[in-house]
Amino acid sequence: MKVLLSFPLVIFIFLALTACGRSPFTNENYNPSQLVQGQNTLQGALAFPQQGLFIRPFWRNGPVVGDEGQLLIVVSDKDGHPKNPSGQLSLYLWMPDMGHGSYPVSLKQIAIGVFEASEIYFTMDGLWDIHFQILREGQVLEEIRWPLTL
Amino acid sequence: MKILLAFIVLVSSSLTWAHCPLAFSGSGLCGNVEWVSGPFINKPSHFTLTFWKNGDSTHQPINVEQELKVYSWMTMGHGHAHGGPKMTLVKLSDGIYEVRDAKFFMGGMDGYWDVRVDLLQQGQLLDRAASRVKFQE
Repeated sequence: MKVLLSFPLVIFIFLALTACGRSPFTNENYNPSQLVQGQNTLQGALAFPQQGLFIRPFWRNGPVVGDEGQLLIVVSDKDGHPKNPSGQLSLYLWMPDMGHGSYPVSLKQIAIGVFEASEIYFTMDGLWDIHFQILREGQVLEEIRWPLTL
Repeated sequence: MKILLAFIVLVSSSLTWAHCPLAFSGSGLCGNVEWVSGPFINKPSHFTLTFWKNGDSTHQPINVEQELKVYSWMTMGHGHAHGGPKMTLVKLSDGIYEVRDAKFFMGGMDGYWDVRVDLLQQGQLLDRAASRVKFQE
């Protein structure tokens, strides 16, 4: 049943992000003069090779300095079917050039293989890494890094 | 003895008179940050912000005519500084504001957080005061 529910959601996200015109995820209340907007440079997916899983992150808000970023994350197998990782998915922000992180990211699972990340705060412009981890009993099983420049 | 008493009264009254935790010298205002919840690291904190006329020992809240901007500011040991997550500011009554979603973190930083309060006029900074954040254990 959950798979049945998650499938239309993934289709909706795909159509929303590839349709012409403004994304419905665009926040009309932005004041661009006060924000630094980053570029979504990811082509394709990020891979967790040991688990044979792929991560496709979709920005619902951001990436941006000066406001909360929100990310929809779809985890799927090699055939593109949404799948839960074998362990707990977690992510955190790190600024490698400055040597510090940010506020803890909130992560909520909304369907099989589909997660919603909020409270993503890039507090300054520059190079940031988003680290995706799969954890089990506090141990990191796999980790991948998504570099972003804001 | 009378001189000693007079001295104590004078000192205590001058301290009351001078109590101005956030001093906005250009606007003649004082302010205070009172924590309702926190301040915490890595979870939301909540405080009230009150304004009164500088010199008013009763701290009667008064309306702030200027535009108000409240935000967190991290100053790091190596000289860099940056802001923090956006806070939610709600006016409760004249001179009294509720500030929610104050989100502080250290994340490996060697530095300190301030709550900064800016008074703006037509978008230009008129006055700024800051309150150092001392975290709950």
